[in-house]
Amino acid sequence: MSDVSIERVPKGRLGVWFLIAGELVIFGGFIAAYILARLEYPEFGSKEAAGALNPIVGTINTLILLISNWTMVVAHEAALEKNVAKMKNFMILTLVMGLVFLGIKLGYEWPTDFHEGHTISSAKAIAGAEAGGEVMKVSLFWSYYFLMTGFHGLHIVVGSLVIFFVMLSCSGGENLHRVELAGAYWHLVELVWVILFPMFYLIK
Amino acid sequence: MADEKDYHGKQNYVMLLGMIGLLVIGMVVVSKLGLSRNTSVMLIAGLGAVQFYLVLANLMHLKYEPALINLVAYLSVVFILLFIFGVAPDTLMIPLKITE
Repeated sequence: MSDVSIERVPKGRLGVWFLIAGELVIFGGFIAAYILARLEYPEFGSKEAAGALNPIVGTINTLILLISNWTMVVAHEAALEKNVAKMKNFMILTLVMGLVFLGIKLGYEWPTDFHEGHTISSAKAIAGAEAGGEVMKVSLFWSYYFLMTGFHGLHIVVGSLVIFFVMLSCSGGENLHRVELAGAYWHLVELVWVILFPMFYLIK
Repeated sequence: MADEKDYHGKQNYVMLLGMIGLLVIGMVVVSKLGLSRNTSVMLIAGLGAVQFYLVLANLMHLKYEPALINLVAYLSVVFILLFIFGVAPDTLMIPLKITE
């Protein structure tokens, strides 16, 4: 911990940390609900549900997000060195990585799931057809999956917009401290994914 | 206002991110080992928790922030755990009957 007193912390930095704490509680609520549902029905994530997700694609996406975190860190270091050109290049790379992550998620994974009949509300249709409790439990997995990965994806979109606008505002070499704040939000996206990835792709 | 240099130690980010990457691969390997469900879940959750800490403390620079910000951040995690353990007894003791 730093020995900087709280009164001396810049307001922007303080604000971002309160935002991050709020986001953690929101995601935490979703994650807690999912864990409780899994504890109630340990089988709802097995075979038919979690088994349908491709962990290789999930791992690739995780590594892409990790690389985007590295590019953001390099952008921040460039900002500390006041090397604006390098900072902009690595922020653009971060944006590209974020778009690749979203592209894989929305362009490949979700369409594949939809094609197999899984949607956020597929529970009703399946339960209507077969009227079995087990089927309902399995589809609960997809409700959580689409809700939480969708919400996470939304944060990637917001994070990308933040990075884009911070990059524009710092182009003249001013307000370079904003790069770190944008980076903190981007790392939050990684922080949440670190939990979502094993939860949906690995634990069956 | 505190100066930016008050906050930053010099970190080896390549090593840090490499470590997180290895932990990701480690989780995938554990999930494929065919261990018992409980062992597998505990190992994966443990590796996930280490990654969570590494990202929060090092990437997000929480370890360079003042105590109050650390408190705010970790308190949010504590609230989540309180929620889980507070609600768990009710949800686990009363079976859900969603389809009925």
